[in-house]
Amino acid sequence: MTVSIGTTESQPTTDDRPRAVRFRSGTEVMSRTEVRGQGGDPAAPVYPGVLPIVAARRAVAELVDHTRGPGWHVELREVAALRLFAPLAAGDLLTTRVTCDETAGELVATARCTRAGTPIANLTMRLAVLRDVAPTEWGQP
Amino acid sequence: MGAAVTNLAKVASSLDYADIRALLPHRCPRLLVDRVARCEPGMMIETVKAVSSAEPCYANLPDIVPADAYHYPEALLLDSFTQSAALLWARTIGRPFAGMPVLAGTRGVTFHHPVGPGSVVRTVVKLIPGTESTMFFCGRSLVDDQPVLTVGNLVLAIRRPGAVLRAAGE
Repeated sequence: MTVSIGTTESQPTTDDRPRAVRFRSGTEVMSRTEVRGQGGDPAAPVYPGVLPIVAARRAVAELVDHTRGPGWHVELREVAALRLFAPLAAGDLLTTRVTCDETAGELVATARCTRAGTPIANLTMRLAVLRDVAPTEWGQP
Repeated sequence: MGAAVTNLAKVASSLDYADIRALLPHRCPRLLVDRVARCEPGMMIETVKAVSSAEPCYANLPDIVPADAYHYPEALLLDSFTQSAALLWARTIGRPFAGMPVLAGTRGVTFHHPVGPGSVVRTVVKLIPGTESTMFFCGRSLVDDQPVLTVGNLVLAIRRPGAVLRAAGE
């Protein structure tokens, strides 16, 4: 079952953060990232190959926020495999579909990134879901 | 004489920020290598990246945030490793790249500990010989001699800028 949570792909973004547009059964998320800025090389504004990792990681964070509520964050522990097919440029809209399996308290996420149907990257990563640590007064533990 | 040889060897194996800018197309804020401490072309490179609270990734954080909000993004750690690998490749061929070095893929990347402001990340990259247009790398990054990142295999490829821009839809 596909559930809309009210954000749409046409919603303007203030940074490179993806906006999750669909969740399915608490284990799948589809998000969109509008690529902004100059990229790595001003003469050839192509984005670094790690951007799909950023997009997929944040999509998982949105999934965790949606299923567990606030007070949790994800930490990327491993990128088991990343394969890049095409670069990204400013103005591109990156669609990231992530499927998660929970194993021993960690999430194993498989992500497929596309731009207008063109494959951009496939990756598999492992993430830990941890409780937020609130800042303490005077830095005391 | 001996001291002169030592100095020459040091000049040849280390690079400052100006040298790095001459070899890599990346520019601030996406240039993520501050200094090359040691380089043996064709073999290995050791680079240094200092993480500061003035990094752009911390610029828009509100005053009160969970402590993990100051963890340096893992993807940028990997990007710093990738740029170190590109520097090793450039030093190995002995000139700036004729095309654009792009990340083609990676395997076995493990993040051991979060990195925060004040950390000095030392990255050691080893070259695994490939072809003229594709090269393989492995290595790790350390903070205070503790591993924070291990990369099992990373693939860089040289692409013609025009081809890359067409593929990117420019």
